[in-house]
Amino acid sequence: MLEIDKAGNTRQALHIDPLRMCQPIGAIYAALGVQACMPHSHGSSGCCRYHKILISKHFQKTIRVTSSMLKENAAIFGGEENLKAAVKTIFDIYKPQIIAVHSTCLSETIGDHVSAILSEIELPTGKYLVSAQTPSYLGSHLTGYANMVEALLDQLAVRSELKRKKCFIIPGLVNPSDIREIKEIAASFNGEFTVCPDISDVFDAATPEKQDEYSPGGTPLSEIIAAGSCELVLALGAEAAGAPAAALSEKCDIPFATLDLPIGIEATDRYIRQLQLFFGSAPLVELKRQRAQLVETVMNCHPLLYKKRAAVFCDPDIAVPLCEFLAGIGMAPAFVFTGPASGELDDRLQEIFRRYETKGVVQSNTDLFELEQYLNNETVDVLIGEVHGKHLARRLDIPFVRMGFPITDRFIHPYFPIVGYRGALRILEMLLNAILDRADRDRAAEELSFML
Amino acid sequence: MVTKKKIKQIAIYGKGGIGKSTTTSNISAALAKAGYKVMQFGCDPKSDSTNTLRDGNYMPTVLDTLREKNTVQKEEVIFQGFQGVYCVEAGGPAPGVGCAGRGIITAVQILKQLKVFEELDLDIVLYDVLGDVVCGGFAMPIRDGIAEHVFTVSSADFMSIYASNNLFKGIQKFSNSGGALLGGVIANSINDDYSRAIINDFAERTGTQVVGYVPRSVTVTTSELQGKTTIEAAPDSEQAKIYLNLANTIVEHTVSKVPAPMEIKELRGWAATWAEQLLAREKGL
Repeated sequence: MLEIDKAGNTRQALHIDPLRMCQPIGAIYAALGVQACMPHSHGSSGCCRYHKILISKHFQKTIRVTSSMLKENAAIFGGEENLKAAVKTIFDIYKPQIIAVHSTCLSETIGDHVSAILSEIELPTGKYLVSAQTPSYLGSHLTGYANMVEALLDQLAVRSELKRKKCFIIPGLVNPSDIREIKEIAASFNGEFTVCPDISDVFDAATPEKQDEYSPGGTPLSEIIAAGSCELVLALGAEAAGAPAAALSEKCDIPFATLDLPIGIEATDRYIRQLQLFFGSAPLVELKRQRAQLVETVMNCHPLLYKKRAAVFCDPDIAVPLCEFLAGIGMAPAFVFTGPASGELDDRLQEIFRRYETKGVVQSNTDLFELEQYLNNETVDVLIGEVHGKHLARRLDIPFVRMGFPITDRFIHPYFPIVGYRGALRILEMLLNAILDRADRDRAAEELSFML
Repeated sequence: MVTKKKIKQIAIYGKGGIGKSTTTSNISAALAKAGYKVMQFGCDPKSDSTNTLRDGNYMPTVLDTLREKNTVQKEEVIFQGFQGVYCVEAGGPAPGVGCAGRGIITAVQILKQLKVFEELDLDIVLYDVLGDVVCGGFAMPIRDGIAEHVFTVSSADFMSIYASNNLFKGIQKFSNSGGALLGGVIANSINDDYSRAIINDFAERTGTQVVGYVPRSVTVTTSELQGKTTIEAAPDSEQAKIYLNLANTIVEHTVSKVPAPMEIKELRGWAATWAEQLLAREKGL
């Protein structure tokens, strides 16, 4: 067995295809989930360009992010002048209702006090400014997402003694179709709820034509300001949504619960149960129909997936419920590799492995180079993860199912969910197709069959 | 065949307020008076290193000029002072904003790109650098083969000695990659025997030498109040002679060494033994 060069311990300085991205990517993602919001990068132009391109390529769609364009002068004298000029220009030209400013490595390192600078700006009436600290030498894109959502809630939500039976849902970093699924499930209880950030009708809507136009989607500012009157805050995904939910809970004195992203049968069940408990009504028949269909499909295709080994590499928020689903349908999530994650990740996965009597290697804050070394020792039947797995798939000749963020080399995928029962059905389909295509490829021509 | 003249580049460091600029300006003045072509480069966002060479006047800094015009011309930032000393101030951001360290790096690089040292046919360049080595930027003059020799100005105060010890760590770190080496300690405000003993002991412990002792003197204060160096305002004073000797030592200095800074525990222990001796001495009197 080959010895493995681990990313976390012995190989601090060099990560090859790391499973983490810059904080501002998450911050921009979150800011675009607010209606008529302009994400603003307080840094040099290269940061903003890279972050923008990565998000754009994932959705195959143009997005707008402004930048303070810090140059040498600003690095020495501070970025205050640039930031103030930028805010004025953005309100003048792009006319957003709110600008969500995030910092970058440069502005954090020279110590620009972004919130203090912004507080000196006289805002046009009805306009808002929020800021989040997002240095990329800490955490990952999920940290940046959490920091921006927390900033939005902390700086905009108003505490209210008057509560109403309304649920404030903070989803993790997922696709617009996933958000639609989350909203559709919540809507089936006929109760009041807000989803924030809400990227549906943003990343899957037509690009606005004029520069001062915005996508129809995004959480309305009024809903964020009124968050303090909700009776429950629900975080979906501990890494990306846990901290902002806790912050809103503390600020506005609202109970909060952190659930997994509703991926797979059990996590979706838990999400539905939590809503049912809160709203006190039964979900629509449609959800029962979807669940029954999913369970039947799982049973039908069980012989094809049973004991199939998978290597999963994606965000920790997706990895946990996804592995629970895989283990639950009889597969073996043999390797689970993620970017930076809180201490809970390993415990959660070990509990899932025990429950389904399987075993797996769990590594967080790691890279695909490390995974490849494990796979050289012990291969798997399918790779599940983000786009950088492409090289692994070719070198090791293993079928590859793209899932998570970023997927920058394919079209249309953000329009279909992996969340909810319908999402689970889609995951099943993708896995089966990959595995069956591979089996067909390996079969001699005379043995090819038109039947399962 | 004309051989290219070797320009002697010297960096002077020390804790803030210890008398770096006063000492450096007097060395510059003394050397210029002796006929050397000297440049003094103030690397401090306060931009007041060369004031006493120029009758107490401030002048445009490299970074201010860069900020305003986006380019820097030689004549915009180099001004002559007493006896033709070329004065340059790096400048930098207001306290509490931006990054002064990055400023020093940029200012030094700009001067290098302008090739002024060769063009002005300088003999000596003195860098007067702010305080402790607080970040990478302030180490710029002693990195990349810019300055060759470093001197530290220190009094016998322990905080000042700590700062010098930190500087030694910086020098030690860069010594393997073509950085400057340590010429020695300029002992400032040394008016009694035990101050002299403390600074001597520190120099010995860290493998360096004291290149000159400068007593505290009211002549310096009165000169500076006139906006002048002691060399200019009181050329015949005792203090001026001391600066002349110091300048002479520095210009003739050739071999610098890698210092052996004390570890923090060792330094504290060393300071504690001196504290005991001073207490005992006070009780004995």
